[in-house]
Amino acid sequence: MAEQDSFLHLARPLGPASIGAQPSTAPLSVTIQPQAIFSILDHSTRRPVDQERVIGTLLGTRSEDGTEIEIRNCYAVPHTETAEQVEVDMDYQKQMLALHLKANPREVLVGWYATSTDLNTFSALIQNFYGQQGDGTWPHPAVHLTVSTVPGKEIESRTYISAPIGVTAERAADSCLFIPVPHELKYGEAEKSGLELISSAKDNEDRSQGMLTDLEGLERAIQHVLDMLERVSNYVNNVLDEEATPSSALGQFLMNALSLAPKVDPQDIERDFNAHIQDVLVVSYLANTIRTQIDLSNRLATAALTLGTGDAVAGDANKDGGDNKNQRGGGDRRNKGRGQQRQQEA
Amino acid sequence: MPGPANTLLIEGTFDELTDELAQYLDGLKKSQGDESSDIQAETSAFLQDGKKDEALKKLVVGSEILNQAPEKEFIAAYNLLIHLVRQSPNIGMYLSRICPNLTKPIASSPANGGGLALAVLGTIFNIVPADNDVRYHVLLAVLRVIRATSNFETLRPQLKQLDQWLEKWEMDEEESRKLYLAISETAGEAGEEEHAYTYLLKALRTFPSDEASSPEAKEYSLRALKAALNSPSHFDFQDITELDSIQALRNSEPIYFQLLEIFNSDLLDDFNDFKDEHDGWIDDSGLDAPALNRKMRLLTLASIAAATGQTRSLPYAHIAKALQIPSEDVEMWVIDVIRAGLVEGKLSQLNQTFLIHRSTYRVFGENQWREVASRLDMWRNSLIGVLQVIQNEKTRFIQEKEEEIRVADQKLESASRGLGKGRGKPRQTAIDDDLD
Repeated sequence: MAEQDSFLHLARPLGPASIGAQPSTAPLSVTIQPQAIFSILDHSTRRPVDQERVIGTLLGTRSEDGTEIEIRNCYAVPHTETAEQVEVDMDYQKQMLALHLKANPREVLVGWYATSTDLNTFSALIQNFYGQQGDGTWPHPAVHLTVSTVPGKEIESRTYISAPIGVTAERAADSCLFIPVPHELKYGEAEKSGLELISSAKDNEDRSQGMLTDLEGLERAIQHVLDMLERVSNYVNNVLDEEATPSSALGQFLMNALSLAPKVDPQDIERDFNAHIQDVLVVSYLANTIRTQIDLSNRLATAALTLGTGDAVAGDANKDGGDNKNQRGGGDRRNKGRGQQRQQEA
Repeated sequence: MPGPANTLLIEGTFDELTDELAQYLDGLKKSQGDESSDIQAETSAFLQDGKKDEALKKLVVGSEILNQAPEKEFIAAYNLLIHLVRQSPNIGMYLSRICPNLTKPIASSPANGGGLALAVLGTIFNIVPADNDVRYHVLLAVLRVIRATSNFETLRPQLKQLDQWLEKWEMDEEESRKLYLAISETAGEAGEEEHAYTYLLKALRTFPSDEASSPEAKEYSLRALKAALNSPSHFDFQDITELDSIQALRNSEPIYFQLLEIFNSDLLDDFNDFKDEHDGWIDDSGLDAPALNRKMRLLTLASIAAATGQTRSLPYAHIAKALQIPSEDVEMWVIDVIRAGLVEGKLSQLNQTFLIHRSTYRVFGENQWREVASRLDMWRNSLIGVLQVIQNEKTRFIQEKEEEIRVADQKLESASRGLGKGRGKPRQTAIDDDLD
């Protein structure tokens, strides 16, 4: 993401008071889930050639006092724009919204997005449409998210709410002031490492990337940590050689991080480690035993099919008793096998 | 790529909009009983002559009445005014007229007046280019409103960008200091002691070293020092000791400075000596004596915990002696010091010792840096060891795989050689083996 613009967000415009509550001007903040951004980008790559930007509806949740908004989902809305006029398919928007709300009853309409950073008078019109009474987000302000989709450049996102402007009703209807509000893209560790893996494919000739095994993942992580340690110890050595100015806050922080290891006796660690290894060995031994049992019973079932003699059936029944004690899953499969076998005999 | 330059989107020409706003202002004035006002006629006369600036000036002067506007129309009307002012080259001049109006109480909306004013000031702040120092004056106005409406929590999340802003506006030290002090006082009134202290320190940093002993610097230094000593949650005195203006106190206020040095690095005994030497001074200077005693004990415990070195354990008796407390109370004090975040560890009641996991060093000197370096090395070496093991295992695994494939190939070969003997037979023997 590109660097944040500097702006001040102190208060939102006074909304109409809901019954029993004071209208509030508390500032609001927006969080965006990455899946919404992905589907916006997807929409942008499939737009008609002659269209500069595409728009769509944002869905998500809003906290009770309206100060925190989370954008979770979105869908595209067809619209056409010419120099003189803009047309939004309102029926489509209405129906899609109803369907979406049916599927996700917890989400509400929060605003709309556009795939260009420009704001123009059409933006004002659409913003007023989304914020209107009835079908819009009223009494809460509608959120407008712009995502720049210029190829080859960083993707920039901005969020706005709107305030009225103008002293006459006719002016106010087709104009508005966009107030920038802070927003945050929220993604977890899992999403990040997934995305890293996917994006590493772009450096490969065939544009594909295999999954990493656990061991490779571990190796990579260790390399990564080693690199970071290298950097930190470079700094520390510079401090010791009096080449860098020491920052006691930084030193304190490093010291705290480095003493996170609890004080434990080496003997204790060795004992715990050995106990753990034994546990692991027992588990893997049991797992192997079970696997053998399953294998065995499968073979017995198929063996009966191919041979079709009385011997095999007797052997199978004999085996049955011993097997049931150890393993249930294996038993299930064998029963199936035996069912087939009976059919065969009949 | 900067954001869109214009966020005020309204159709209509400058003249039309000016006319509408003038009409609106007249209407407002008339409703307040001021019949003589005729801004509309005056502005339209100016507009016909093409004197846009004169017309704007009229509007801005008349805009004082907007404070009486109904709260629903307030923001819309102000936004229009801002939109008009924005088109003038002398934007700074007009805004400096508008901002004081906004810091006055808004008559029509006693409950939300602050919020409304903040919304408009925020808009003004945002439409001014990011590197223009008009923003500085707007921010000062914002602080005044926030102080008047005790609304600090709305500003707090925005202050992160403050240093960047100051850099962009190329403010000199005096102006930055004024801003920092304003923030510090606002925060102090809102009961945010930590923030008040942080910004006070920032303000102190703006004093150049040759002004460090000026009376103004001394006053603020003393204030910061008292705040740091009295605060129940502030234990790090190194940041304040490093300041030039605090160092200047060494000559002007030697007793304060002595006390600061004690809190910075010395132990409880030294503090008691200090109290004996300057009997009654602490109470006279407005410091909270019980709080100081408590803090000194916590700091002393942190110091002796840090001094244990590699053994990382501390017998109860030692703690009781250093803190001058009965041995029953040791556990309570240890729990307090853990809660203050200075030390981490666990108490062993059985052995009557305190096992330390982590302790804060009050003075972070070269020895501590060496310790950090050696721990880093240790960590790196063990990680390199782990990596080696993994790589060895990996190559071994690959070799084994190859071996297996080779064996499988051989088997296949031998099997295809003995194909004539029939397939069923070997398989049956295998099953028999399993059954046995």
